[in-house]
Amino acid sequence: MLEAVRVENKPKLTGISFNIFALVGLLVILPIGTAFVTNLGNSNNSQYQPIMKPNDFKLNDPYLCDPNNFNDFRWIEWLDIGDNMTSSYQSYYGQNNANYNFMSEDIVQTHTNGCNNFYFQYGSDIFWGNSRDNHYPLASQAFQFNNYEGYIGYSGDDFTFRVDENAFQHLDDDQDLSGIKLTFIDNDLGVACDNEFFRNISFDYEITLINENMSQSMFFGGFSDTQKNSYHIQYDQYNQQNNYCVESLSLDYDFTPFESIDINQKFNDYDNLSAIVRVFNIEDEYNLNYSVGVSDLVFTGDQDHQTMIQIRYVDTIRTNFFLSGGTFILGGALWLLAISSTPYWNPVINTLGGKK
Amino acid sequence: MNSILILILIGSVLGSTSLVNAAAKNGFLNSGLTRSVAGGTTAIASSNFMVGYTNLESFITAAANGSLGLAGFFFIGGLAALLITWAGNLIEFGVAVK
Repeated sequence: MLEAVRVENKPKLTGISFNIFALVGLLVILPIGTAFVTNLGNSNNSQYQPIMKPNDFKLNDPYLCDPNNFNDFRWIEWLDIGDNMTSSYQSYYGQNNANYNFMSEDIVQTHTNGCNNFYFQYGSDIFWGNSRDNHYPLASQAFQFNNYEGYIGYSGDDFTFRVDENAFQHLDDDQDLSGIKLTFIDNDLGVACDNEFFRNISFDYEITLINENMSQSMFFGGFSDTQKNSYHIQYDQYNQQNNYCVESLSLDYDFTPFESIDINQKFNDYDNLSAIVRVFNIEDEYNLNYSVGVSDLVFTGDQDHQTMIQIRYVDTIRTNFFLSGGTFILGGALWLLAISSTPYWNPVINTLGGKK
Repeated sequence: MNSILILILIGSVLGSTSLVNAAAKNGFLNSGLTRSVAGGTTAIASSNFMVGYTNLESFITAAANGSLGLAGFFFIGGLAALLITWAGNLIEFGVAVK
């Protein structure tokens, strides 16, 4: 009987044990709480959608039909095409072979009746030359290769290019940007998706958004990914084939809700937006062997490729509401915890029947 | 007693990071939140293991630089008040919570 009274009179939670309880609670609840709030703020994100709709692109576009303005039509421009491999190409293919001069340029400029003929129409869709689906991939600059003799096996692990205003003009100014996805596709070779040609590539990537007169810029880094270098073609309308893969690499710039708010406060006119994109620390399994032939890296510096740009939007007013509301509740909880940690107010201990 | 306290604290850190990591892997978190950057700042918790605290760090940074408005400053104030209170209690009474 005496023993039972002694147990009943014991405080349920005292001194050091309550301190541990409080510290553990903070260490566990705070990261989960902030994760919940930030995720709630991001809950109204839309799905990725191509920036071009079928009627946005026309075969008789003045830019396409005027060779003098062809450069203005570019959406992607190389700033750093990788390592200078000129001497390697020349030593492999012959000293006098000038087809692989570093940073020399090759872009298809074939025209028929004044209009660029590398685009063609099939049904109601516009295709880029060699394209096997209708995602409106965009021409990119590439190495010069008048007498192409084959890829040497390596072109560096650090590439930089510019996505210019021509691309961002297709964004909806009335919506708030929350993600940009660039998918580079090389349609030259299509094989079965389980072919060993497709392997995992690890890389880091970053982006800098810039306005027209370069007075405003925002840098976003810390992106990294490991992905299989394949792009699945469900149905090839032009070649009447289905279910195969081509080479690709995809950069998904999925901005946090905070970043989306900052971007849309700074850049409210997407027509003047451009971006500097860098892909680096590329770990490419084939390139470890320096094997001559086709590469598993889509931009090898010696071939052209196409770029698909997808965008997703978020309602930053709703995001702001969820973020601010959630943050206010978390802040309130922290203030209450701070006050209840003083000797003046101990609601938790009193409730638990702890020390008086 | 101190070693038990340290073990419990390490356990709670591991537990919470595991929970948030699992949430991130299962698509609960926006992938951007697992990055070590908020507004282009340099991160402290940059390893994959610390992804849960990376998000917390991003959150605190965003609150401190004004991205979350007044609510963010209210949150930072609460966190600062809590840490100051616990530090003061430790110095004066030898325990964090009095």
